[in-house]
Amino acid sequence: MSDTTLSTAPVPARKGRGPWARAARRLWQNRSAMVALGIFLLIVAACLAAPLYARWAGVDPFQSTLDAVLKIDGVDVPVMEQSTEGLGLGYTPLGPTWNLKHYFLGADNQGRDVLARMLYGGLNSLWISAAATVLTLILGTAMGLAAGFFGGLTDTVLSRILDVLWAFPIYLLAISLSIVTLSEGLKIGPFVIESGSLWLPVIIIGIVYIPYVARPIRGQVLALRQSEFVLAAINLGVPGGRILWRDILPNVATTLIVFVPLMMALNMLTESALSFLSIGVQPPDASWGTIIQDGQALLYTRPWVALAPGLAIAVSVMALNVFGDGLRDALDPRSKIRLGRD
Amino acid sequence: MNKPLLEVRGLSKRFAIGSRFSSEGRRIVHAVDNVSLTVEHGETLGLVGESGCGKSTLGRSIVRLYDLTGGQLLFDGQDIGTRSLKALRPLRPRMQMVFQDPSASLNPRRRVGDLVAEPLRLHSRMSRAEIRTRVAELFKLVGLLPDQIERYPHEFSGGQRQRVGIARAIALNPDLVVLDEPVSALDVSVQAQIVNLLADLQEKLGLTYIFIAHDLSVVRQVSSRIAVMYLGSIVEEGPAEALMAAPAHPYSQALISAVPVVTTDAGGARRQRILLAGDVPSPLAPPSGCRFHPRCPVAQDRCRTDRPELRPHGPGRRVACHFPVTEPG
Repeated sequence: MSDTTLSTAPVPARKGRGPWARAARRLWQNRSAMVALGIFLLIVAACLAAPLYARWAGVDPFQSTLDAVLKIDGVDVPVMEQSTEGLGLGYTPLGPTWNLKHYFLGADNQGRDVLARMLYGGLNSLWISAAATVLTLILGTAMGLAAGFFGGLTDTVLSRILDVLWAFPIYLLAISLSIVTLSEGLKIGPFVIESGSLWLPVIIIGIVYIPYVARPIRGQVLALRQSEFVLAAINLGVPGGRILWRDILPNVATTLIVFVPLMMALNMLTESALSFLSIGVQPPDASWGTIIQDGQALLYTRPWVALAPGLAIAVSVMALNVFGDGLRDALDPRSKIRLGRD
Repeated sequence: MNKPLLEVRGLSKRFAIGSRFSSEGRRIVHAVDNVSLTVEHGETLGLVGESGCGKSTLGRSIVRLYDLTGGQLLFDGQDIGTRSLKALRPLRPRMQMVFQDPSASLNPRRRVGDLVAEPLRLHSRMSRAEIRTRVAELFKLVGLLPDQIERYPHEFSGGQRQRVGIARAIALNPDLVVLDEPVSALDVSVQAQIVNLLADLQEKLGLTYIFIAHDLSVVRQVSSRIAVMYLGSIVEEGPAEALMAAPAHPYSQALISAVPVVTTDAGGARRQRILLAGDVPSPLAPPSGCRFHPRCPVAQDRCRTDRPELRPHGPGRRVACHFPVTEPG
């Protein structure tokens, strides 16, 4: 009935609340997602503060300090002390002092401050996973859009490329690529990435996950192409590129946004695994993965060296996943967007 | 005599489904099979048939949302059956389409004003301000409030959304509007409003309609001529009144007998309802001969082997049946 009645009072034109605004509201109201986001942002902030912390505590997390001696409560404590266990051979690094001013989490095998290294390493881990996510999303979206929208030969070629990537177990492919590029670096035409550069793990991780993004996007585009509003746009004579940009991309954008935190979590795990295997981030640079590897040898005497970065990874990945789930619920409550092989 | 606005000659549309490598192989669906029609300026052609009979495919083929498999399509004398999408663009303003499900035909991520402005931005040389005025004008024309322009499709009811779809279709003063089941997704009370709106617009703007529906009672209200489709082909065509009063094809007869009638005398002149046996055969494997023969109450041997052509049957009427149930009147 309100369908036909024309109101006589001048109503100020109300701007409709769009899908994005409604999603933001739903996200804001999702407490666990917001808590997860808060935790993750806290970790990011802490890692960004790494140089500040190093200066404040007066430590250089990249310099071995094997013969340094620390004064704690007026007592001289060597950073590396003679082992008293077993045969009394070798040295054991200082354990956690639980004092933020020096060696909060103790020292590693080379007498370096573990907390400071963790913050610097976290910066690398976060940066690599974020950059790889951007790379995967850009390449995956481009491939998915092109394959789904143009169909035919384009689709066949792109889909087969994705199949090839998909056919490898992710870690096997990532490890192989890492080993190949480890000593020589990567040379593609004029672009040279030296071995040891942080860009190597970014590119490798970015590439191996492309099918995870491209496939669902292709599927969605295929469905959207048949949707009535795209037919309506064709009927209006809207050029193909504009349909892709104005009608299709905004409708896959929700999926892409949901992918961001989930991909970051996946990438962070992959980066840590590669670094743990010494084929990701190269020394003297650190990442959570390399610190775990450093701590591996000290697992019985100084478990915190491995435990702390492990916890950092676990908490970050969990926070990202919880936030990603909240994001998905907020953006499209009915969607069944999933990341992974199914 | 004026030449017709639209002439469809032997139009066919087949879809291939399945993969060449699957166990069943690649199969062909004959969605529209050798359909010929003409649509004159200013008339409303009602296209009826059960769901799955190919009427929507025919409608979409007419505005060239699909590539045709065969046949010719003449729009205002120009052959548009084989034109590329790009070459069709200049003609788009003249032929528009309103879709069945207004919640699916409006992009949920764009404001309705933006959606209605899209054809104007593409095909007219209007300035932004002119477009804004025109959109407000169109909103008024279809019974929406101009202050709803900035809203999103989900903030409207089904009927209002269909009004938006109609506003978009008439924005460029088209000649032909293909209405693909424009009211079947709506509540009955709203259906009448939209049907009335469409009739008003036709009168005001001199539009020509192809009205696709499965609901005969709606089609009879709006159409000047009716074509009945069965399994991809037209089985009968004629002026609405004559066809509804005395259907010649057994299938039209059955279809029309299913329309509920309101009578004043209780238990009096109730029409005999004809119930068809069985389901619509699969368009993957249409029956031999006359496609209606397995369900036809008057089928004879000849119908199983000979496919009847669409032949004239009285003034302005055509029927595809060997044994029409009425004499040409």
